[in-house]
Amino acid sequence: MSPRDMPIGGDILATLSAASHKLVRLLLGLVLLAMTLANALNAGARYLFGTQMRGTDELLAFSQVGIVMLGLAVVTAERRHLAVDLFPAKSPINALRRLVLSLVTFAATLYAAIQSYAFVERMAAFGSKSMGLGVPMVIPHALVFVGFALTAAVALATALADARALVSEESRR
Amino acid sequence: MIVTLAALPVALLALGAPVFIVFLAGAIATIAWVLPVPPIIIQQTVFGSLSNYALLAVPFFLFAGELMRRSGIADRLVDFAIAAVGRVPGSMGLTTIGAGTVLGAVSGSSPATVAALGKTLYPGLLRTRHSPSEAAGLIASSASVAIVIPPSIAMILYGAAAEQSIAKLFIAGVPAGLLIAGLMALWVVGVALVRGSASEHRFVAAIAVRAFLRAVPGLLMPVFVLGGIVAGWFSPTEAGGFAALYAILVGILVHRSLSLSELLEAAAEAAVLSAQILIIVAAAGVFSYLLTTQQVPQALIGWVGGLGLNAWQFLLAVNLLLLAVGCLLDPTSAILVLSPLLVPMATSLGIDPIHFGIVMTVNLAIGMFTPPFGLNVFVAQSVLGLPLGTIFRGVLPFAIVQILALAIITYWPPLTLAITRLV
Amino acid sequence: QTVMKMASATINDVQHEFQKVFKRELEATVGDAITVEIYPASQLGPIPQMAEGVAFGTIESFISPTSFLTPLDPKFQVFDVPGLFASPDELSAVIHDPDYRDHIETMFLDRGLRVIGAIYNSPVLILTRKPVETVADMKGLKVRTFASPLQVLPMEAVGAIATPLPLSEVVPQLQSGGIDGMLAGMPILTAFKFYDIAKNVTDLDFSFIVSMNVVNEQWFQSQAPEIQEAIRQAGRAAEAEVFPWGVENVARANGVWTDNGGMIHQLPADELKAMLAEFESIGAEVVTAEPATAEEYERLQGVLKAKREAN
Ligand code: NA
Ligand code: NA
Repeated sequence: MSPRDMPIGGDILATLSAASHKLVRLLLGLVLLAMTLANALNAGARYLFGTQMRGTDELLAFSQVGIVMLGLAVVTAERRHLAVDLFPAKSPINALRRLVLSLVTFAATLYAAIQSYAFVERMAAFGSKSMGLGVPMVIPHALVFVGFALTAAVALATALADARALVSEESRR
Repeated sequence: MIVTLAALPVALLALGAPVFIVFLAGAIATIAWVLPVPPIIIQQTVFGSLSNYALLAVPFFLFAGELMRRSGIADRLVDFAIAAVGRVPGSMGLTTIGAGTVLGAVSGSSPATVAALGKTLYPGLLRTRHSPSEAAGLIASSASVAIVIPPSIAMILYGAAAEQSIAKLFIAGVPAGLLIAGLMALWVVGVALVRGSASEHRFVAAIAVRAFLRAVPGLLMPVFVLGGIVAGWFSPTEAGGFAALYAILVGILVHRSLSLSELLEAAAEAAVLSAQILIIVAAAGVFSYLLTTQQVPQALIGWVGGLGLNAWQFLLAVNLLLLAVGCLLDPTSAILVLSPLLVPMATSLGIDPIHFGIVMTVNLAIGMFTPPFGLNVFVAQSVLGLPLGTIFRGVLPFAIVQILALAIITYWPPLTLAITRLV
Repeated sequence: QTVMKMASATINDVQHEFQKVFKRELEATVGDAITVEIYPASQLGPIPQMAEGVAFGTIESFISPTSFLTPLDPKFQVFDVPGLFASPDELSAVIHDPDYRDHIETMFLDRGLRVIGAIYNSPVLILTRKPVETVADMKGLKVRTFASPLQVLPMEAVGAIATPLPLSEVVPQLQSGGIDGMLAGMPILTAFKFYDIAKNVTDLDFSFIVSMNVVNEQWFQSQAPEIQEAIRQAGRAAEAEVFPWGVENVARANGVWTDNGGMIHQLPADELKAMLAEFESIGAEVVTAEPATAEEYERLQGVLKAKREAN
């Protein structure tokens, strides 16, 4: 995404969000690469040496939760969500439509984040551990909260950009 | 409830909202204002869906597809396919169907197959004068055989919920999947013959041989992946990871076309594409949970059961019902919720439960690429960057072909059952 | 009007039977004050999601083998110690001992869970591609187990490689020889028609699976006292009614297995005895590692000993 699309005003903020965007993408790439290696090591160890890296299935499944939830924020920032695009590209209400959708996305992911937090809090208090790795389940569950919260923040930023675009379009008329 | 679970999602869909928001906002509005469901169900179901081990085929095969594109493996495969079968009418279309069948067989994941086909074969289809719409339709629909030809997660779930032999379902799926692929191939060749677009590429042996040699590492990939599953080196889900690893090794060591930064960028892009697709699965899971606990599918089936249909009519009703339900429920929920209800009705009408399982599976396979919701179409949209309308237009003829295949599978049970009775 | 969603991962087995009898019994007492809805076959999500669901109150009731409940409370492990019970009758005598059954009901209240049903499920067997007729035959076999140490460590003790593979991967891996066998109960093996994939089962007397039906305690407490009592009684009545059903179901499943060309092997008596003794000591070591669980294990052993002495 080009810096011009960066929704938050001010050079410092724009630089900051561009940098964090790059960083999150790098993190996502490293995690998927690590998952690929863990998968191969586990299957290889089982077939060749008859040993198991215990909990690999859990590690991979939890990592999948992580890349999807972090990726959700990236997809939102890059405005790459899959959608049914019935509106013509030059529809006069597009600017308004985009703003409404950004706001709906913000509201829905914020609600999901708040409810996720409530769940994570209860899970932390409950303290159950995963069967294979024995990690506290609050850790993988927290990924869902983090993903929704980040996405809500990103959606708010895109909504602000949409609002600005709408205003400038109105003033041009 | 109709407002929040039907009207609001339809309105959001029409407005062009992200598909996951269509499901999530509908579910949230229902939870917040209509039903006394604890809101933490959102977190529980999203996590439950995304921590499903079998879904790992999606990020892994997306990664493999992305690597094949960036390292030039895909280009070499396409060059070879065009050089080798250039004179056969509809050759590139046939290549796509063949690749979809093999990759689908290997991965067991229809969306993962779309992702891999899209990254590798789409450019080749365009080069051989297919329109983007046609190419996308071919890719999205070819991949549906993934859950019909074993291994298939859909069949494993059906076997679990309906208490049927997974081994027999796997065997019965082979002729059904081949029939679908065969009819698709006939259609592609037929269209090419009518258009007279057969001989645009002349076959030159020297070019074909050179293209073959360049493509060898890529051609060995399905051999390695399929062989590894058959030999028990790795499981079907693990196979996705090995496909990616193979592409990394070929890209770095053999073709020397993959730098470290490109490798990381490919992984990042595959992760982002996975997020695009799997968040829809997760949000649809929340939506399905609400429908299930409100007994919506159960009521629908009770209604069908009350009609007093004979076997022939019942199968027709089930086909229509499943195509409709496929729009609302994700395939996992659809199988788990519907099969315990439908199978006793089917067996009481004298329908073989293995045959019935294949009918259900093919239905859901078709539902994966038909409007309004179809995960394959969303994946094609994400990987190819085309508008949804374009893809749906391209998918239409193949949907008709596959519904024809479904009719044959439904009303000619020996096709699926003959081999299962031999073993 | 209250809805009671009863979830489970299986269908048409003793757990499902328990749910059905419970529903009948409860509705006979309370009429339509409670609507019981049964969701078998993982319709409400994968097992961990259902377990968390009942703990956090999104699902009112969940029935499962105790091994899947251990993430909610390690104390569930005590019923999973291999070699613990000598027979289904002994298991039933212990868990349905009136005082001990009252104790089981409230044993997990500190985790927000109340046990309304405790039932015998089935014995754990080993399914293998090649026949296993001696303990040595298991050496080097890759055997699918749960991730629980109570299955992993005993398998390792006989030289097998415990492979906690997800269920979706088991069938293709068994077919290709990626794994050589799996631990499971016979009703599961016949329900999935595993005789089409591997023919050999060896009766390890490994352990007897106990299934427990837990309800969310907060939900339970929100019910009127007479409803609470009706739930408790319906659970007791259902577990009494399904015990013979469950025993017969295992016998029926064994018959289905051999009718379909499956084989059931036995280990030599002396080898079996030595193996079980080893399993039990491994199991005891696992469950006594943590004080609260150790205390429950001691209590269970006490009830078991009393039953054995009475006979
Ligand atoms: Na497949
Ligand atoms: Na569809």
